[in-house]
Amino acid sequence: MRKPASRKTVEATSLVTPRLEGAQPGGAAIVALAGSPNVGKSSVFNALTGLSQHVGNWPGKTIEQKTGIHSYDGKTFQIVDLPGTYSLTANSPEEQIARDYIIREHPDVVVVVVNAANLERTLYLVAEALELPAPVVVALNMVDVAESQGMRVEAKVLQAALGVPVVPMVATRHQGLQELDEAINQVMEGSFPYEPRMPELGPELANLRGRVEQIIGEQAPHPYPSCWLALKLLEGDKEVTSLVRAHLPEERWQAIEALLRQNEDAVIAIASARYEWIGRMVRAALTRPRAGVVSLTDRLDRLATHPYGGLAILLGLLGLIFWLVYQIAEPLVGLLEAGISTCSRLLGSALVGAPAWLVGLLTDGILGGVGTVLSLLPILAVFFLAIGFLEDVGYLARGAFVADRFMHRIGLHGKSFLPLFLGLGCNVPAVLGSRILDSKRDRLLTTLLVPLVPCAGRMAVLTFVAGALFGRRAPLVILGLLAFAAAIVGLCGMLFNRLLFGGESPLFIMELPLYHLPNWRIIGLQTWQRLAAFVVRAGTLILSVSVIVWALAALPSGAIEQSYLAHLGRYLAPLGRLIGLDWRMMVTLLASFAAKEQAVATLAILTAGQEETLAAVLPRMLTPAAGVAFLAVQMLFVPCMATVATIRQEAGWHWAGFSLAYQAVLSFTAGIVIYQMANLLNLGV
Amino acid sequence: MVSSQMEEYLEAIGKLEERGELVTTSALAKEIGVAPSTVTEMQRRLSDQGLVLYKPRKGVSLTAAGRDLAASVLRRHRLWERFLHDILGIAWEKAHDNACKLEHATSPDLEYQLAQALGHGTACPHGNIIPDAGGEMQPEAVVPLSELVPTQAARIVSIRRESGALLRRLEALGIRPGAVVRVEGVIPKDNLFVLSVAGRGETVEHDIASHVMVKLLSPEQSEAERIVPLTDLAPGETGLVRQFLAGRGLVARCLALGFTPGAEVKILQSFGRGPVIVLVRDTRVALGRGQAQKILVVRKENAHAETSQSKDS
Repeated sequence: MRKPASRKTVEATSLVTPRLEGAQPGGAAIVALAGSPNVGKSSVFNALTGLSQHVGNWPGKTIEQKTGIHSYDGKTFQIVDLPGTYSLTANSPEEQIARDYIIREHPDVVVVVVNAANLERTLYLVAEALELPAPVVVALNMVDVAESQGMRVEAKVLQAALGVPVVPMVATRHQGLQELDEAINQVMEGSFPYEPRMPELGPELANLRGRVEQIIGEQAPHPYPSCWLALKLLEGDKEVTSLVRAHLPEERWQAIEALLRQNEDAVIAIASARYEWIGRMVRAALTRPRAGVVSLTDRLDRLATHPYGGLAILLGLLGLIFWLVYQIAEPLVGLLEAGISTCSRLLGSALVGAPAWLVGLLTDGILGGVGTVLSLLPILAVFFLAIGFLEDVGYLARGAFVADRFMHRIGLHGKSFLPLFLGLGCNVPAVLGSRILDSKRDRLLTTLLVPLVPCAGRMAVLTFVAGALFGRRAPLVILGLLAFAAAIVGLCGMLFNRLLFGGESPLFIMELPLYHLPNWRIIGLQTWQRLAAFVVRAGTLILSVSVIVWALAALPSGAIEQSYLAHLGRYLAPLGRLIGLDWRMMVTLLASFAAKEQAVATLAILTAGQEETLAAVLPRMLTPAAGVAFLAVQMLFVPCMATVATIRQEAGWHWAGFSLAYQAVLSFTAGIVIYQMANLLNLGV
Repeated sequence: MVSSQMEEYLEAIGKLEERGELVTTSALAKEIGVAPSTVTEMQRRLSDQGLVLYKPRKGVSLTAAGRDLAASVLRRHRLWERFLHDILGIAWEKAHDNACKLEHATSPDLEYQLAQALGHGTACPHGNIIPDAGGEMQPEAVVPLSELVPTQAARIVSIRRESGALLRRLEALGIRPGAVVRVEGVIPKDNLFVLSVAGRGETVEHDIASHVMVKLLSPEQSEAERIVPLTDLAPGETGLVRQFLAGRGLVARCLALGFTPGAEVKILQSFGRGPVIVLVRDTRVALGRGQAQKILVVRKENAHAETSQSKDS
C-alpha cells in the first residue's frame, strides 16, 4: 500500500446502474484494465485501487464487475476492471462486455496487461485492442516470472516497435506502478508521442476488409467504426453479424453475406496475420532461454497431471479442505450458534408477556434466519480461501485436467468436479464455486447438479434414519443410497446436457498457467468481497424465506401439528401414500427446506407425546421399503433455502425455480418407483 | 485326390512365387520347416499330378492348375486368419497356426460363407492379399523394407513371413499393415535400419526388414501421411498446426490461444483416452481428446536416431 490515506471510496455505483458515467466523481478520467487470464491483471487492479474497490455485476449479466479509484499527481482516475479474455471477438459474454465497454464508454486509456513470461500469446489482446478507438498502454507484468524462466523482455525495444507506452511491472510487489501512472498521464495529456503500429493484415485481407467496409458504407451502427465492424464480420463474430444485419438494407447485407461465405477461412487468416505481426514486434525485444531447461512447472506437472498420481493429489487436497473446514470453521459455527441461541433466550425473556407469535417471529423466524446466514460464513470463508489459493498458485487448472478424464463422459467440464465434490460438505459454497468455470453453459450445468450431491446435513438425516430402521445393515443401505445419488448426478448431467444444451460436449481447452507463489492480499480481498456479496444478495433472501417458513410452520396456533405446513402435509398425503409415507413424513420433507438437518428435529416434534425416543418410534412409522423410499426422496428433494438463494444469486430466479421444480419431481418419482417396485417384488413390506 | 499335405506344399510354393523367388528345394524346405529330402519326395508327387513342373537344380514352378489350387488354399488360409483375428480376436501369430489346420478342412460352401461373413476383405491380418474366388490376385507393387534408402517413406502392405516370433517383434515395434515408416538411417556395420514408425524411433535388423513388404510413398504422399490429428503425436513430439476440423467456437478459442496455422505444438502429456497437454507459444494448454482430434498438424520429423540410440543403451 503506497498511500492509503489519500484514497477515497467510490460513491456507491448502484448495482443496477447501466452505465458508469453517472458515478464518475468530478468527471474523473476512466482507465479500463484489460488482459488475458493469468497475466496478473487483478494484481495490477489491486495495486492501483487498494481497498477503494466496488464489486458488482455487469448490467444484465452475472459476471463480476470491479471498479475502483486511483489518485495520481492530484488527479483521480476511475479504474474499471474488464473481464479477463483471450480475445475481443464475442465468443463469450466476457469478451462482449470487454469490447463493448471500450467502444461504447470510450475510456480515456485502456491499459492492456500482458505477461512477460508469455509475451506472444498475451500480446494478442493488444493487437485487438489497437483496432478499437481508445489509446492503449501496455503493462508488461510479471517480468520477475519471465526472468525466472530465463526470458528477457526489453520494454524500451517493445515500446519502440509498438509505438505505444510499454511499462515493465511486478504488480504483486507494486513495482512499476509509478511508471504506469506516468505513462497513463502522458497519454491522456498528449505528451507521449502516441503512434501505434497497427497490426497489418496483408494485401489480400486488407482488400477484403475494404470491400466489406465499402458495402457497410455510412450505415454503420453507432458508435461502431465501420472498419472494425468489417474485421469482426470477417472473423465471424455473431454479435456484430446480427447487429450489422439489423442495420443494413437487405440487398447490401446479402452482398456482405456472399463475401463472407466465400471467405469462411478469413478468421484463421486474420488470427495468423496478428500473430505474424506480434512475431515481428517481439523479435528484437525478446530473448528466449536455451532449449532443454526443465522448469519447476514441468517438474511439478509430471505428478500433478498424471492420471493416477494427479487424482491422488486432487483428492488429497479436497480432503484437506474438508479437514480445514472441520478444524477452523466448525468451532466458529458452534460459537455463532451458541451466540444466536443465547440471543434468542435473552430476547425471549425480554419479551415476556408479548404475544407468542411475536416471540416466535423474532426468535425462530428472524434470529433463525440470521443464524443460518452467519453459520454459513465461516464455512464459506474457508472454502473461498482454499479455492482462491488453489486458483492463485495455478493448481486449479491441473485438478480440472485430471478430473476431466471422467467428468467429460457425463458432459461436464473437468473443473466441475471441484464444486460437485465440495457439495458433499455444503451445497452453498459448491454453487458459488461453480464460478471457476469459464463458460456459462458449464457454470449453469454444474449449478443445477450441485444440489443433487448429498451435503453434510442430508448425510446426518440419512445416517440417523437408516440407523433407526436398519440397525446393523444401515451401512449397506447408506452406501447403496449414496451410489444411487452418484448415478442420479451422472444421469441428470447427461440428460441436461442433451435437453438443455443440445448435447454438445463441453469445450475443454484451457490454459495451464505457470505455478507461482500465492498473493494472499488478493486471495483475502476476493474472499472478503465474495462473502460480502453473499450476505447482501443471498443473505437477505435467506432471511425473508426463513421468516416465511417459520410462519408456515408456526401459524396460526404456534404448534406445528396445526400449522399451515401441517395442512399442506395432509393435503399431500395421497402423494405420500404412493411412497408409503404418512402426512408427518411429508411435513418433515417440506420443513427440510429451511435446513436439511432439521428433518430429524421436525420428526421429533411431530412424533412427540409418545413415551419412546424417535429412533424407537420410526420403525413403526415406516416399513423398510418406505424407509428407503423416504431417504431417497430426502436426498434428492428440493435444495434448502440457502442453496436456492445462492442459485438465484448466481443464475437468476428462473434457474432457481427450475431447480426447485425438477428436484421436486425427480425426488418424488424416485420415491414412488422405489416403493412400488419393492411392493411388487414383496421386498421389505 | 489332393491331400492336405500336398495343399500345404502348393500353398508354400504359391507364397514363394508370389514373392518372386526361385522355388528351390532348399527354399521350400525352409518355408515349410522340413528336411530337403522330404521335399524332394513331395515335389515328385506334385509333378506326377501335373500340379508343378519340376526341373532338377532349378526347382519347381506351378502349372496353371497348380496355381489355381495354391490360390484356393491361400484364399482359405487367409480368410480363416481374418476370421480368427477379427471375429474371435485371436492374436495374429496364433491365427496363422490355426488357419494352417482349418484351411484343409474347408469345403467350397464354407469358404463362400466365410467370405460373405467377412464382407470380402482383400487382405489377411498380416496384409497379404486374399486371392478372389477365381484364384486371381492383384499384387501391389511392393518392395521389401530392406531395399529402402534413408529419408524414403513407405506404407507397410504385408508381412511375408508369418512366424510367431517375427510377428510378435513387429507388433511390439508398431509395424503393421497400413502403418507408415520412414527410413531415417542405415548402419551398414551392424546391418541395422533406423526407422521412424508413427513418430517413434525404432531400430530393426536387416533380416526383419526383408520380410516387411512396403509400398514406397512419393514425397507428396509422405507429406500427406504426416498430416495427422494432434492426438496421433506421442509425448515429446512436435507438429505444425495445419487445419481445424472444428466448428467456429472451438476454432476461435484455438486461434486466440495461439493455435494458428504454422504454429509449433509440442505434446507434453497424453495418456490413454484422456485429455492432452500441449505447449504452444510458450503456453501450456490442456485440451480434451475430442478437441485435440479436430486439430490437424504436420508431424515434425525430429532426431529419431538419437531417441533410438538412447533406447538401446
